[in-house]
Amino acid sequence: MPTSIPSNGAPMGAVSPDAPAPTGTIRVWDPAIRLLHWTIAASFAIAWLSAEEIMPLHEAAGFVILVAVGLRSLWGLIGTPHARFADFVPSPGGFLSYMGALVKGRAARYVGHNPAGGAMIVALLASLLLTVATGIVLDTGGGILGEDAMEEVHGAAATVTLILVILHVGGVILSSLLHRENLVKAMVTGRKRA
Amino acid sequence: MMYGKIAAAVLLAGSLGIGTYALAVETAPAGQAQPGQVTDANALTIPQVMERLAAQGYSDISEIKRHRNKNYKVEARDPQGKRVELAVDARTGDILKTEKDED
Repeated sequence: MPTSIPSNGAPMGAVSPDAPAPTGTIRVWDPAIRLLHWTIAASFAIAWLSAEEIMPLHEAAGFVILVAVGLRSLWGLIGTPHARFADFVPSPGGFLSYMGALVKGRAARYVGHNPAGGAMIVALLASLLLTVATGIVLDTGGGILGEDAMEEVHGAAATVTLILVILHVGGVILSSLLHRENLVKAMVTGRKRA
Repeated sequence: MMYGKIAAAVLLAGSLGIGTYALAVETAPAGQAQPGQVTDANALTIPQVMERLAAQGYSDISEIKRHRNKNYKVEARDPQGKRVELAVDARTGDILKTEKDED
């Protein structure tokens, strides 16, 4: 868990709100992270919308998600510094203390993922994997649960994933407002204020 | 630190496991891979399903399709005149499930 990231010598969370940044940006998210992020986002949207309607597209989107989650996990072990899970996955205590600070509006700014974002990444990837896994079993007849029950489980897993996506987007907006930066843009350009 | 490595390793192992399973079932010889599916040879045709449903008092069929190669999904009016969605066994023509149609 990153306990202190010096940002221009200022204490964490004390970055001036209107500090001009164009020259002070650094590359945080490497191209692989950004490509995988938006691939998963687009594929989940496609899979959600095509469910029970356009099955070949639905299944293709599921397989793209499976490969992307696998690559993201691998990159989480051997990738660039801010891509590595060790950089951002919090301990339970670290997560709780960050959430405590967040509700008081005093959450520290992180150049990489903050602890809540880090926990969300693990939850999202795990939920996506569970959704894909139940989808594959459903496609082969539902396994030991049978088709009807498996259909419910697959649908529930997808719904859990959607809820996590909504929380994830909410967290991104909250963090962006709190630290006066556009985190969505950062996931496109890869660059953030130092 | 430790949590991150464990999480990444578990997710990676999960992806590989699911991918391997998917490859195995998708490339397995047809007929073996999909035990729940009915081949077209012993499935009822759409006209046969419609005929059986009509004989049971169903009318005004607005949609009928094979659902995941196993059952027929039918939208129709039941003998009481209510719109329902039925799951019909493709082999026997039995109505497996009846749901009220909200549309």
